[in-house]
Amino acid sequence: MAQSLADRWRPRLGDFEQWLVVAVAGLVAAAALAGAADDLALARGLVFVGGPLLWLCGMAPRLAGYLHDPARARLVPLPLPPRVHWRAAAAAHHVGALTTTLLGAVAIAGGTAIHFGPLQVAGLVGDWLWLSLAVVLVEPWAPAAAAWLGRRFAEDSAARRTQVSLSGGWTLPEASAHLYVPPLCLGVATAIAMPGQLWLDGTIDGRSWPTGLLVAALAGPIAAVLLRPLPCHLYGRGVFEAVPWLSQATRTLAGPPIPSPLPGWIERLRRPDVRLFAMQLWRTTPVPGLRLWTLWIVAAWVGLAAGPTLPRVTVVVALAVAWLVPTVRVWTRLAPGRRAALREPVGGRAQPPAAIAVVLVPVAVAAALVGFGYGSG
Amino acid sequence: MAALRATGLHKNFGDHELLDGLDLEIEPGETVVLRGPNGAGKSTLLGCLAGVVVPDRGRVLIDGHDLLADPLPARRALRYLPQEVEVPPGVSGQELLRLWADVFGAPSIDTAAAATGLGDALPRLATTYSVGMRRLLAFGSVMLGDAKLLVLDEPFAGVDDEGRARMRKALVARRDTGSAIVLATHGHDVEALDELSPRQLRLGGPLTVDDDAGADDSRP
Repeated sequence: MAQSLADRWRPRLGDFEQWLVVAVAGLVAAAALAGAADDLALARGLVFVGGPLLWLCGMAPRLAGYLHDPARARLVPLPLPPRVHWRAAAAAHHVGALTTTLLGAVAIAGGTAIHFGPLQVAGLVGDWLWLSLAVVLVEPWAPAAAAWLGRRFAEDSAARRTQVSLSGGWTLPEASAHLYVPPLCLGVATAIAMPGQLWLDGTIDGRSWPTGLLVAALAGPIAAVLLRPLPCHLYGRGVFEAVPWLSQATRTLAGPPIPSPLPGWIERLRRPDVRLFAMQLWRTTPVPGLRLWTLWIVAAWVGLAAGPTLPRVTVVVALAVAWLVPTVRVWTRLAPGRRAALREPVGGRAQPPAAIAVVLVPVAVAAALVGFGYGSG
Repeated sequence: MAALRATGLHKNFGDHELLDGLDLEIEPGETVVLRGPNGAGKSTLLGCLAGVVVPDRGRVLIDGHDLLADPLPARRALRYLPQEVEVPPGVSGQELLRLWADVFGAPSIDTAAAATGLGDALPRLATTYSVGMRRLLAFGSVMLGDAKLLVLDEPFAGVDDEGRARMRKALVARRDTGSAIVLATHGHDVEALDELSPRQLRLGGPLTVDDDAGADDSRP
């Protein structure tokens, strides 16, 4: 029954915009593979490099339920055994892992089917699935190790000094583990998957491999399966301490109490509801200026200098999505507060058309730049 | 054995020092009211006692169990009412009380349901409750099972007079069965808590503890 209570606050499977990033990454991967034409070695290299990157994109929504989700902080004063927290988070994790696996498989198959035969395509998808298996087996260690390492250690201990050093002074030392451990686990999964991927590719090419490679390919996953009960145990050693520290670190990272100045164009927006939308978008979006200028600069390069190709246009689309994605969050989560604050906006009815223009005009500019490239080419 | 023994609690948020070596001990059946201006650290101290905030230094023992080293036994002896109450969607107040009762090992929700005073509203979805009703529901959860220590952050906020009276009565009953109570609240509610004969601790400035009643064994 305790599980039932934890499940009532079951973490959401990340937020829509986080999964949109994964989808766009899959789109970029498919476009890059399509751009590899019939170069099988290049395609394999792209799967080898792009595979972990695709898993990295969805890491935050997959793992958030273990330690980051507000549900954990809300339930942490209750006498719920750690395995209850673990199971509640693992359910969302499994769905996220399955979604990423399927998305990657579709992207790889879609990007390579026009250039390669069924066996080669199956081999590339097989490389991805083997990596996915390794990630699924290794990834639970990420929240487990982060929980255990995300505690406060004695001031004079090496662990504490490492925490302080890794935090770089801009987050709590206790929170530094959450920055490094998940990517490290992904790196371990990639390393575990490599012998199997090599063996699979060689077999498809008709090469014979030493038995040792097959043993190495299987050893990692088998070891991960055998050690599978341990992460939950390790998580239990730290969850009651790591969750409050992480919660505090999240508040610390929320920004300074006095917000940074806004760009002049936002200050000049006349309608208060549109200005409020733009302010919220600008202040709650990480590096908004970088997103905007990267979109424009790359679009200008593609349209005016390099010339549009499928992979280049895909990159521009990805950058446009990176600019647009926070809009969803601002629109859905902050809109109720905005409506309450400005129940009767000056200028009459609801704000969508004018507010949408705030985010769509930069995208239209980028599209025009790329379109110029098509027109002149 | 003390229901709560907190020793040497330090807590800083950035450069802002909120707890500076605070010691606090509460015996079974004793009530302690934290007072002080907004931002004085009342909620931070209660958070430290409830395990939602980890002190930079110091220890918290609840019924003899270390809150960090022995988390489950300590939490079984603890009930915490946070300042902000959130309820999950799709669950009625009654169902939520039953779920909490299972977590705390309480055989029945009758006493807790009575303490809420929500009556006919209990079968309704908890998400339809007003702020005060949610607080009453959460207060009901605090009344479940055999707790040694109740940690209540602004328990009366948003609750009407009738609800407050019922809550005070429930707290007196818990105090009489040996539960220790520590709560943060404001002026007029403190006066209304006279029947609990609370020890008052004032927090303010760089946080130290003064005892309005004079005999303060918690001064650092």
